[in-house]
Amino acid sequence: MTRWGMVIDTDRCTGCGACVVACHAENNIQTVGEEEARNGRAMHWLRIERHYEGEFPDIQVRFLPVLCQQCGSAPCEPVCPVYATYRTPEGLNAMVYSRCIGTRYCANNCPYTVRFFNWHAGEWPKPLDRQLNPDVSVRPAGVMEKCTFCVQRIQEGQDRAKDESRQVTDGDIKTACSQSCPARAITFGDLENSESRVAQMAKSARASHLLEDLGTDPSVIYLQGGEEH
Amino acid sequence: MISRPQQSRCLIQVLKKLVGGFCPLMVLGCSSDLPEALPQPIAFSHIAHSENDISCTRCHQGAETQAQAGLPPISSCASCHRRGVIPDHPEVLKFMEKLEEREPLIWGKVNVLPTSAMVHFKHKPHARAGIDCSACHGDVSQMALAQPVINTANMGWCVSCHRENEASVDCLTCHH
Repeated sequence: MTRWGMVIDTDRCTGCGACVVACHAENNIQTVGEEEARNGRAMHWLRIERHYEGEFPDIQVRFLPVLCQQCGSAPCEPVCPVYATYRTPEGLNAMVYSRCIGTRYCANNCPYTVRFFNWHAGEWPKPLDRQLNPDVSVRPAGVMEKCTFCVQRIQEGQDRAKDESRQVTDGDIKTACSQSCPARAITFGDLENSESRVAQMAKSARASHLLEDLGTDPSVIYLQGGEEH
Repeated sequence: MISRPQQSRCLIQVLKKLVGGFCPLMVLGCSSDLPEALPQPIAFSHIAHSENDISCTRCHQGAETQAQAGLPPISSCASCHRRGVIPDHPEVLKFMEKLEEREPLIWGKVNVLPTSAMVHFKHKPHARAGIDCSACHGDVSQMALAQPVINTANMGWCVSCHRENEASVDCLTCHH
């Protein structure tokens, strides 16, 4: 069995935002503009939260990249009336756009607020449409969307392994955010494979989940503290 | 000789005419309501090419290696037809003229997946699993212009084949 997971070392994160840009480019995420952003309709499958610790001038900024936690027990799933979001056998929290009828119950029930509704269809005026990733659907207005753990890259990695008649090995598959992180704060892999880097890091004493007490069993693990950087 | 998919297509067309546009087989989930074949820029004959032992992948080069099977550029048609293979045929002259003008042939897409389904069909994994082209496209080698033989909007058709071959039936496999 496979369970895709991600480890984010927040002590390494510098808050540069490369992952956010990479995610937008990889997944055809629309930019909504200033006015809609003011309405709280900005769309970023991955965002960087800033947390300030201490009192001025002795202040420290902590950055926290937040994305869909691909929960093992996802609050978004049971509230969908059309099964547009469900758990796949590989441990992903899937979002099937063509099934979504836009009730937005899932977004309301997500404690991490990482689901985004397409209030309008995205626009890519020519020649910007050429930058669209052909392996990812361009979502129409009226459907929900969220981080997919770059499922198209997972499939591509599995396809490549099949071509070479071998199993997928650790490091074969990289999400756009982990590939673009200059500080290598984001690692992606199979949590069920005890040899994988993510499984090793998940055992660390520095590891924790976001809003752990909710019991959502996230597949994203954060590392923080315990070491000087 | 008429191939079986074409036979069933004819049958459906006749039934549709009889009952005024509504095909009773639609209820049974058959491949009815096939889109009419689009007009093509030249009257390309698949039969003529297959009779000369030209395989599908000779022209549709991506069929086994890429997501899209693709269509060849006119220059690859010209590589045979310029060298004395019926160079004076009126249909050949049509595309040779385009080649002179450095303009592409705009082919009509025969099998179109509905955009609202947001399906990412890939030829490569199907070819790797040994699924013959004809499983979805019918016996194109016996068609002049290619015609659709299945209703690509019918997801049940895809799923039944995936089940038979123990391929993934997870939604995300195709819809993402």
